[in-house]
Amino acid sequence: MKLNDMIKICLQNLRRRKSRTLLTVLGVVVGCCAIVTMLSIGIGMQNSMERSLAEMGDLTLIQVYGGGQNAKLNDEAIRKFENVPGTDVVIGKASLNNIGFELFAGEKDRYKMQWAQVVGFSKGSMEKFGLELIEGTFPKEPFEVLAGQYAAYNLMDTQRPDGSNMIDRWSYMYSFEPNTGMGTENENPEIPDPYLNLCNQTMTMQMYSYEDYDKKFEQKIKITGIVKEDYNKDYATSEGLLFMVNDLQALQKMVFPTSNTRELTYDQIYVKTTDINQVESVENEIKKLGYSTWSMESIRKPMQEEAQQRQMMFGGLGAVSLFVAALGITNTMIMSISERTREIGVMKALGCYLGNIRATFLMEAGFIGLIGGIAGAIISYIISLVINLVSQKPDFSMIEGFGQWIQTVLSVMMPENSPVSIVPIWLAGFAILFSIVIGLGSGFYPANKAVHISALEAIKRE
Amino acid sequence: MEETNTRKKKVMIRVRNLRKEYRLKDDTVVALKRINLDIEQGEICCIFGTSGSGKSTLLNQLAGLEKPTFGDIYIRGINVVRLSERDLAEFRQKHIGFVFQSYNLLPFMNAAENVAVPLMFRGESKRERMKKANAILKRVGLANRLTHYPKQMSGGQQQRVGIARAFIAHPDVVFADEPTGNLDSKTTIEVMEMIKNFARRFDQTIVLVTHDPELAKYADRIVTLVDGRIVNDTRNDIVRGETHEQAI
Ligand SMILES: Nc1ncnc2c1ncn2[C@@H]1O[C@H](COP(=O)(O)OP(=O)(O)OP(=O)(O)O)[C@@H](O)[C@H]1O
Ligand SMILES: [Mg+2]
Repeated sequence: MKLNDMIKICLQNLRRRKSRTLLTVLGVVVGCCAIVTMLSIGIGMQNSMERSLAEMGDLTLIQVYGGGQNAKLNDEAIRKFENVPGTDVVIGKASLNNIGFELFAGEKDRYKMQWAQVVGFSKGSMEKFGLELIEGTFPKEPFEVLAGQYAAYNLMDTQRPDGSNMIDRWSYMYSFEPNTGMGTENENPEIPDPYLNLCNQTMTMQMYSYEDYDKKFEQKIKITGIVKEDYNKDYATSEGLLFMVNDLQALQKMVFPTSNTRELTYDQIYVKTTDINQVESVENEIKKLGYSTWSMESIRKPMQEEAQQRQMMFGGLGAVSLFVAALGITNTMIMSISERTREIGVMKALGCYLGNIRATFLMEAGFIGLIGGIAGAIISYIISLVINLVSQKPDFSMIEGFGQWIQTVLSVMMPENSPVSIVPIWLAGFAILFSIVIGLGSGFYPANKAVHISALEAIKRE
Repeated sequence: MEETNTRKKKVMIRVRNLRKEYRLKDDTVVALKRINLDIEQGEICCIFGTSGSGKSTLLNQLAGLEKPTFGDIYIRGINVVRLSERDLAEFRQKHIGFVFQSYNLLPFMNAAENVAVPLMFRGESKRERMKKANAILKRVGLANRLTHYPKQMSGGQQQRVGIARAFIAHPDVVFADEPTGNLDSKTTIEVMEMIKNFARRFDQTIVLVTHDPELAKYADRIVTLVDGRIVNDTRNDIVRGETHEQAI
């Protein structure tokens, strides 16, 4: 028998008992929706958990602490960490030691910066660390640096009188109650531009050692870009300067030419892994090298495990209803087979292969699963949308007008806060596949039953 | 002439020491007791007897619908008792046709599709088999009923569809158990003539089960059963001659 003939027979039989087929399909739809919706809520929870964790800091970042003689935070350590499988990039951060400085910019050094947080990044790690530029480019040449977003507000205009020679951006951001001294944040502060846009400025860095304030050293630096403020990455992204570490090393040598520090030690080393799942293993490897570490993993892991347990429980609840649907399919198939006993007998008497009979019935059951799965997946998307709508805007402002409704739908599709229910495409695909498997599984016993009907049934009289 | 031709013909069905018992809870019914029978190619053989004499049981054994308790049945030299389920299905596709008392058309198919069912089981393409089905339905006088469903046809029409289905694949043997049991006398004659004409045309063997002496007249040979035993085996030459003349 040809495949398309079998498909045709199976469809004809399904159509013959329309209402029964429909009800059975409905059972699968309900089961499928239950599983998908439950899992989608689980996924939504996990997603919002990961988002809130990500707000607390980079989940793939491991902070490494040195310990003793064998675990120094130096270039060798960076090389070692770079060789740990799962490592994406290693970032070393250093600062100036025992050096004070002032910076000058503008015509005739009109503007003066008396304080700036200085940090040095190991070579090539600025981009990979995820620093975001507001303007300009990352430094490439020696003594090219990045400035923090608000570093320019530390400039002092030497041609203005004392007391009004700096722009205090904080005074624009907060209103102070004169009596109590309490500050409240202004909603849309209008902060005036700084005296100078630091991007592409060349500044003179005048340094002195804390041991000898009078001896000055000078170095010109060029600011190639302005980096966006992100306290999770470094305070220097706000009001500081970001150097490449070998430039800092050179400055250190300039001020302390005789000091015997042959190699540079970093204040901190960060290891960024290729993805979240690598964090644990990379951390273990680094610990084996004698260092101590800290990462968001210690928070994420238990939360993740709990979320997974919850998801299993939800999925299990859904699975129960799909199991009920499977019983429904089996029941329907057994009923239809007992109704069609005579037909099956005739088919056998006329020389139909048993395999073809079995295949026809399995197809029928599988088809019920397929249709139920597809409908279930589509309806699940709708349910998921509705859940998100309701949880997002519980006041049903959509009733007032169509425009508002559109607004609401849009805000659900592109939510600022994470949605309660998420149906990834793999989940929908999995649901359809699972429904087909359930259909075939529940058709197995009835199909076998059909195969064992005797051809004699065809001869027997009613 | 006819007579001598038939004599030369080879044996199509050979039954040896056939016995069929039905084991019930506390006793055993012996439906067939030591049947020995040779049916030749092209023969229309009527199995005749009263109700309960074992006619249907014998036909079921011959057609391989049921396994005998003992004995062998050869059709075209092949022992159908020993065939596996799959081989038996294939054997039926190629060599056996059925006409049922209650027609047994598949209710979800129209006349032409029903006729084409044996070819469908063989895996013939839809175009091929529908062409053949339409042609044979025209021959049984149902050219204007091709797309009618069984429910929309009379018993006589349904049985004609059934006959077309039995003969479409050119089987060597067609089994018919009370094929006219549900039909009136006029339709019975039509149906029997039809079966006979088909069989004669391709020299096919017919095994016909009936308890109706009228029907037995269409046969070349009448095998009478009583209590699961063959008690009489007559050639019905006169009848054969008559109908042959009629057919011409
Ligand atoms: N499945 C069965 N189980 C038990 N006994 C059976 C079975 N089939 C047939 N018999 C018995 O075998 C005997 C022969 O039955 P069979 O159906 O062959 O008779 P028949 O000649 O076809 O009768 P009828 O003309 O009424 O159809 C009967 O006594 C019947 O009771
Ligand atoms: Mg009978």
